[in-house]
Amino acid sequence: MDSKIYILKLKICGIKNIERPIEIEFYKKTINRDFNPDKYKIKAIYGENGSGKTAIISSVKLLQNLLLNKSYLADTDNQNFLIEIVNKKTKKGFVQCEVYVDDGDEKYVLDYYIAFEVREDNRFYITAEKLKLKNGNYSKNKYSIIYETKNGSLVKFGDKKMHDFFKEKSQNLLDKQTFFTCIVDIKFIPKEFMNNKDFIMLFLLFIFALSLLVSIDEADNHADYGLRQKLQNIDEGDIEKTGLNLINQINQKILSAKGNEMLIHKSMYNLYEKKIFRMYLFIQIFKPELCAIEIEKKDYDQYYKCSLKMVYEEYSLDQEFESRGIKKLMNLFHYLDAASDGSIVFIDELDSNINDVYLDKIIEFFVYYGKGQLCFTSHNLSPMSVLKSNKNAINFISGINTVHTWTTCGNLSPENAYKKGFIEDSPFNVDASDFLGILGGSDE
Amino acid sequence: MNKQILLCVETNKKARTDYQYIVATIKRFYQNNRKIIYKPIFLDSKTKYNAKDKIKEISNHIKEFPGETSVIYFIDVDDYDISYETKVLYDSIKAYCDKNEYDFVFFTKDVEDVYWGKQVNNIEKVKKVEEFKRKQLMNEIDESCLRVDEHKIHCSNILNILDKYWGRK
Repeated sequence: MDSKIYILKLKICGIKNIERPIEIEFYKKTINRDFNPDKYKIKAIYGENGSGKTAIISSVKLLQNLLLNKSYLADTDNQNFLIEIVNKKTKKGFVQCEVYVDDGDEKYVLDYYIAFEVREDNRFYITAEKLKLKNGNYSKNKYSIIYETKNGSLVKFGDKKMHDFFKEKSQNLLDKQTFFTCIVDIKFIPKEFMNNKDFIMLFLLFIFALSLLVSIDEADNHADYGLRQKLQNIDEGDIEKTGLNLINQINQKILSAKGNEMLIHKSMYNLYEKKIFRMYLFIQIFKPELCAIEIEKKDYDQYYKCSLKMVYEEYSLDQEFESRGIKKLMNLFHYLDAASDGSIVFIDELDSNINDVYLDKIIEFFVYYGKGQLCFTSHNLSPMSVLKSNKNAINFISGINTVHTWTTCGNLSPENAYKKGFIEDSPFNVDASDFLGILGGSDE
Repeated sequence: MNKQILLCVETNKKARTDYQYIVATIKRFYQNNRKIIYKPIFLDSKTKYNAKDKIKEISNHIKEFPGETSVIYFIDVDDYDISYETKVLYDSIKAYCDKNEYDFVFFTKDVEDVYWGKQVNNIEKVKKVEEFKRKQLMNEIDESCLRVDEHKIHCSNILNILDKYWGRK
């Protein structure tokens, strides 16, 4: 296992329909010196429609956005999106994760917690943050606090001198951005603070956030939600004022909807070219007729604006017009590539638009050769036969926010147990005749 | 752990008429309980209540399920009062259920008589249950007719039995 960072546990509450805390374990309870997650590097989350699978992936995306983007909560579109995905009943929640970090000489287990709420002004705020370091390898070992924030203020970080320094610098900011994004902006940080162990732990948290890659299914991306809301809320009198701004935004959206148009920094172009060549080799496995994927690049200041062309023997076409399945595979390539190379990757609806056989082979590849961590949601039961040989690899989430991990049960296979309704809290008591009187209307 | 309930009904897999009335009853009167999974056992005829293949089918379901299983037989009373043969068969099924600790639900005279208030020709039964569901007639059923202890025309003890497993809405 090459990966130096590994997610051990994820606990979430208050996102979408997750009203009560749910916990997902990625590894066994005790972490000893021979930490070896080889049998634990893949996890599939199954559940009926609306059970909260996407909420789990969204919570990881939220965690990453809050840890890496200091302006994330300042953006109106993000705010509009967040107040919609916070659970409507609880109006508050949290994301907590336990992470294993191996920096070569030392091994650490960090626990990060971030709580949030939607307040009366209908905005999303961070209410608390806590980063802890575990003292020892057993589940009952205690943690020591690295830093803690509460109600927008720093409560603990390092010694008194360090705490006072950072408290002043982060004054009135910590309900709108995370502590880490606050301190990266500080121009001068005394060297003694930077060498402090607590400071180093904070950077390990940042590295964890960087090593996350999250893919949310298109339908749950809500990219144009903010735009639609704006259109709905325009008063007639405002049209002139806001009209131009909206037209610009819509134009931008249409441009980005092309999907394949990417800005690549000129210094990175060589790497990009190599990656697209590997993507071509990847797609060719599924579509042997593909002869090449060409990059069309246009100069754009320090960048190239790149779009992709699919080249076949007698014709070529813009990526936009490829089949949905191939486009999905092209998108997945980036995530699977990262997951195979040590990153922690979360993918929502990995199975959508992908042939069962191909899906199984992709999973099988990751099980045998992957070096990172892959967690995905799916409705397709076919990969279960591959996954069942891995530990903690199949989780079921029920409509009442309970999570169950598949454990061997006699001769019963996980796919049969699931289909037959034997998984706890997921009985699937649905009969074809239930649709009578609903679909096609009633006779009345 | 979930609980499994096997609903043993007189009809066959194709017609599945009585099973649909039973499921409609569960959905109308009881809260959705995610801890309970229910599934039909189609006896094909009440005379097959203790047929080897049916006993095996029930036993396989019980063995396969990792939790606790309960079995309920749903049997039409038919002309119990006037036919000796019917009475003997009905009493044997009841005794069989008592012996195996299965629950026993009766419909007087039959399931259509309870849910439609009249008996229905055999050839009409499939059409009628479809009509029942389409028109959502379950909402118009008089609850007291589904909660009797003794045989009474157009009535059943179904709610008395199902109350043991599900919480009322």
